Amino acid sequence: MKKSGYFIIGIICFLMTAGICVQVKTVTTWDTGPVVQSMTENKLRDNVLKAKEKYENEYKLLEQSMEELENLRNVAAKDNTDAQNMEKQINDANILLGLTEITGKGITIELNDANDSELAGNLNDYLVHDLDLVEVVNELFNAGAEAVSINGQRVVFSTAINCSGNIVKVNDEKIGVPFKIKAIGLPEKLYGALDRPGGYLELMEEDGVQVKMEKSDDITVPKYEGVYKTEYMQIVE
Amino acid sequence: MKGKVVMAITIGIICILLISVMFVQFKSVEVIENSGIGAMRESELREELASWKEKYEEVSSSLEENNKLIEQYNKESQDEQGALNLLNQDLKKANMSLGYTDVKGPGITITLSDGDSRITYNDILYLVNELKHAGAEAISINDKRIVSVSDIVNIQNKFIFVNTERIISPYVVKAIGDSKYLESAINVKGGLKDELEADGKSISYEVSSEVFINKYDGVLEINYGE
Repeated sequence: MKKSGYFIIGIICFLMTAGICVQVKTVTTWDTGPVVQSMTENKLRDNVLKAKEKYENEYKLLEQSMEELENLRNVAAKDNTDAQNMEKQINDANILLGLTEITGKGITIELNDANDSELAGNLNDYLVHDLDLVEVVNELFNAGAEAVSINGQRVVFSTAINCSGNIVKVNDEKIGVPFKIKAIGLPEKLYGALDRPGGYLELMEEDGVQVKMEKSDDITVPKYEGVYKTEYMQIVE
Repeated sequence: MKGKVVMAITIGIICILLISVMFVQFKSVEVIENSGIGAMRESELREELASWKEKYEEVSSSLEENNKLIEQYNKESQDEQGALNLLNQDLKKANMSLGYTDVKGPGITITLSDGDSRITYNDILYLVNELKHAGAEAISINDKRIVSVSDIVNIQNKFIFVNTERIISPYVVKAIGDSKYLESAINVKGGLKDELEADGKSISYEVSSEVFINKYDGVLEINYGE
């Protein structure tokens, strides 16, 4: 009786030890030094959140300074028609630069990775890639789009669409599927151009990507939240 | 009898230790398995941190510029000429960013030409995307200025059109910006240069301290939104 009791406890201890070993192993296969790593990671995570908050606060100040400048321009221009004319041109330029939200007619396109896991062939073909988005945006501009955004990121001159790892980035912001593209322009023209046989959307659909497209009279494209850099170029008179 | 008690206590302590070690382990695994930022590994987190810091720097220097400008407006816009000068300066800067002015600056000139196989519209499209990613401030292709709504398409699978005008080989792509970044965007191992050359296309580039890029000759408009 007593012997079998010890025997059972022995087995329990053995199982527990084995359990711990398995755990240690799964954790260490991720990377070396699991506990130490998760501590530096937690610290990094804190720092990321702090850096993000710091950026957001600074961006709010930037927005305020832009508003203040607009008011100052308005005051500066009030007694002079030449000045008023220039003020209007500056405001128009800011709209064209994507620095304001814009609402109007256009289309929305939604792209999503293929969900049919039984499709044969290359897995890569079922996914929507950065360069697919480059192609679709290019077709939209060809069809006369005046303003475009992808998942809330306004596409402006300096916008690059790339990826790091499997994650697509627009304006250096990570975005994921489904990709919702909004374009302002003549809806019939945009729809017809993107829907045409042999167009890029058709090629993607053939690969299994899910494509949804809709015309709309009420589309809102957000403003660009980045900064135009003019560090290296200068005007040639 | 005494030996048995000591034995039982020892085994008990060992069991408690083992169980607590297991819990600690479970906990550290749980912390890692969050979504979003919680799911990121050290290298990703470092990248994320660097990216926010860079964005902060950009916004911060832009804010500084605006504050200087605000100060100037407060000081100089009282008299009419001062106001006109300031507005003119702002307008010029906005037009430069839009692509309405000729510009010059350090940068790169890349020449793509047909080799064993022909350059296609998307070779140029992807190149432009890479240059933008490398921070190009102005870009042109065969002197057609790239603006926010520029398109690069092929017509009848034969002709390449930029801003609805046809261009022909050799395709000279110019970009102004940080030359080091622009150069590495192209010649990075396995990058665009390697890819194009592997496809039998010809690409060469030259970095220079002064690249001239001419202005956009179209008109940018917004007719369908406000």
